[in-house]
Amino acid sequence: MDDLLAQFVIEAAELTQQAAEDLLALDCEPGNRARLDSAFRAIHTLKGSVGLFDLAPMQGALHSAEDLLDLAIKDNVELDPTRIDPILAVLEWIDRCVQHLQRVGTLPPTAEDEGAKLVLWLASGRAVTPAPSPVAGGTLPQWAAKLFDANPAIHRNGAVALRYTPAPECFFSGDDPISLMAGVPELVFARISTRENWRDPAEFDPFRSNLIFEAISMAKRADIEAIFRLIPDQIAIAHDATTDPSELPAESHETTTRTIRVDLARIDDIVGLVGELLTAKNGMSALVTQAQLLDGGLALSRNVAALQQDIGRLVAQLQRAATDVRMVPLGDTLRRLSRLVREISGQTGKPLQLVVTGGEIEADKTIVDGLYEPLLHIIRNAVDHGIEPEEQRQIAGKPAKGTISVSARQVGHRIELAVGDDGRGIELGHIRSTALARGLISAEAAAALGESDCLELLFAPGFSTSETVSDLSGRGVGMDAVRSSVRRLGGKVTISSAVGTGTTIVLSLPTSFAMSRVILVTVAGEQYGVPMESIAETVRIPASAITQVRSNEAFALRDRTIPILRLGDIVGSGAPGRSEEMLLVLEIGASALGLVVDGIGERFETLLRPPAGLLRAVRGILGTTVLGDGRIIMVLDLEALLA
Amino acid sequence: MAVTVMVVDDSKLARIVAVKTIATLKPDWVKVEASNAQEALQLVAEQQIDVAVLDFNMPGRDGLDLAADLRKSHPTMPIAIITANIQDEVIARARAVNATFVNKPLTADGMSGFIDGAALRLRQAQG
Amino acid sequence: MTVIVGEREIRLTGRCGVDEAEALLSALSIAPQSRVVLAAEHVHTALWQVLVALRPTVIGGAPDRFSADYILPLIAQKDALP
Repeated sequence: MDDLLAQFVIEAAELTQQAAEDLLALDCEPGNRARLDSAFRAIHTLKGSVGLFDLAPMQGALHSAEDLLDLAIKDNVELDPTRIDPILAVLEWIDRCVQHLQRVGTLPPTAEDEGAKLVLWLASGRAVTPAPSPVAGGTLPQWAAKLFDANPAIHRNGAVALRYTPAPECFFSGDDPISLMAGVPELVFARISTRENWRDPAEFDPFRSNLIFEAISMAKRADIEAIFRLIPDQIAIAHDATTDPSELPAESHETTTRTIRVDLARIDDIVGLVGELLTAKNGMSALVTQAQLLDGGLALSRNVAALQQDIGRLVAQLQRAATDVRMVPLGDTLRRLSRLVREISGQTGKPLQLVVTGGEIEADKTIVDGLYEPLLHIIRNAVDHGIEPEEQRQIAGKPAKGTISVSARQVGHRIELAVGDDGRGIELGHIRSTALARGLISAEAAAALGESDCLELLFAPGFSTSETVSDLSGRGVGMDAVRSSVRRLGGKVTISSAVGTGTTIVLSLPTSFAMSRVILVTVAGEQYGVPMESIAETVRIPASAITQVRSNEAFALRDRTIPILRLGDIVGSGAPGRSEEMLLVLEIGASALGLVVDGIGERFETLLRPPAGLLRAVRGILGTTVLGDGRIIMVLDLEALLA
Repeated sequence: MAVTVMVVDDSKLARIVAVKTIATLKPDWVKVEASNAQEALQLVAEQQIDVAVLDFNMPGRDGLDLAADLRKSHPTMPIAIITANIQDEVIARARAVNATFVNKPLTADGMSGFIDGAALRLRQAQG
Repeated sequence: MTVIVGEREIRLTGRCGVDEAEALLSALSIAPQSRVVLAAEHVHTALWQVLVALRPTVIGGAPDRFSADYILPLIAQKDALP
């Protein structure tokens, strides 16, 4: 859906809500002029917005409704129910149309008929004749209408009808239709029929599904849709949206409004509280141990442990739900790039096209918003240094138009954003000489650099490979700025390039600031947290197994020689070696590393808080977390520490 | 003849979980593993594979891309796609290649529908 | 084996998977007078279909409310389905 339409959907919901509230107030207090004016304004504005799109049926109905209100204001007459009801029906119908528009991108196919009926009804309201209910039942499919008719006792308002026709072959795909039906919440009626008559036992095929289910539920439509989501072709769901206008209560708007706008800070409060809850749950571990020590406390301890597990599961669900609320599609940011590329193309005179894929992938709002800046730098760099001028491209046999591609994909709990260009690529020799000229490295070091180390130099502060500093990428917004802003989001940047064919920069980011599994380690009497994701295993080895390789230590693990570092040395509190050493084996990229610690403690799940205040300036700290007993510990960013 | 099921996932851990889950349901099935689409296609070329269980999120070609490839050579092979988040667009792609969704994290319960259905299909094909 | 065929009754126990529909069908075809004892945690639709189609005498409880409220009455129903 394009931006304009998305904005319209939000605004339309608010305007219909406003107008409906005003009309309901007028219903109780017909002389309230302020309400009448407000309703008129809302509908007038809505009509104006509708005019921006090709939505003629909506336009017509709103126009009639506006006329009706206008007349009441001019003639200074009170609105009675015969005039309020059809307007409310229009608003309700608009709401439904907008929802359809949002989901499918078009008006419902019945919109034209319904709109025409509403206009008629409005006209009759103007003539102050008792209004029939021309739209009631008009939108229900026949099977649903029949189902409701068969159950007159069931209040249609809020009821959802469903018709589930399992495919005959569905057992082979693993479907169990009765099981699915048993999962439908708040079922008030069901009936079962068959596709074809049952055959004699001799010919009966037990593996062909032959049942058809029809049911009415009072649950939310979305909840029912969720159950049958994987078999959209076998399910029909309908609800009677055209409730009798005379009994349209304010609350019916609550059921039709599907989105609300919430201040991000309020969501963050919830996420924060979930984190606290998690901490409180971790605190129960101490209770389990205490109970074990009691006489006959084993059963109690087990019960507490079981309860802790239950609570843990619920907290995890709650946490997922809370972080989900913050998830927005990457498209929100990626869309802004096309304007940027157009601008750059104009400024540089290089014809460009932008190809974006994966905009539907979702990530935390902070991450999605934070991506714009690094992407902007990367694209500017790509155009400046990568994409050749048109003439050069023609000589190289490339299309005149340079292509910048931004493609996102989800890899487990991370997103990978690859920004590629089809430009000239990066000459390693060029990097070497520039780094040398800038005094970043010595001549010997430059000669010895391998390809990936060489590309790494691009991330060195103040590096620019262009001979002339251009308007676009200029100085100081080099790749180092990109790397640090991506790092702040918990991400990594890698670069690869092929001379002549282009450069690709890959950003790997978490989808959310989710829970991390952390293990406690002790070093020189202090406790630190270490993220479990980087730890491959923990081993205990005799000190004699450690060999000295020049000034470094190493040990052999399953035919692999693994270098050793002592965490004590890194955090600045070295300790003497001992006869048996405890090691965390870390896998970082393709290489492994042993990290000596004094002791290993419990493992737990926690919501990492980003480092705040003074800690923010300290390298190698991923964040802080609160232990069950209330102590705050630092969680180490091993990759940064070991870099 | 024993049924051979191929588990494709880039995570070794996830493969272990999947193989264990399948083993609790069908101890007699032969399990083979691949860590990406290319390895999987190679396996399929080398030996008889009856059932495929594919992770959706894999670097390179994802599970649905792979399913589409497998479907070309194995029109009736039961194929499951393991995924944690199902988007409508993904559902549509899976339907197009006639693959079944199984929710992540994997449980015997979640897997049993697909495995039973697959067993049924294989048996019917033989009988 | 969760479909247990006895002399005069067929017991459904545990989790009755789709593939057991065939066993139930053949047991009921051989001995249509057998009564079916429901004592299962889960009964797959394929087995329910056999029961609805052949309508034997069923005793015991359904594993969930939906089958208790809507499937069992179908099996007990005297007239064929519409």
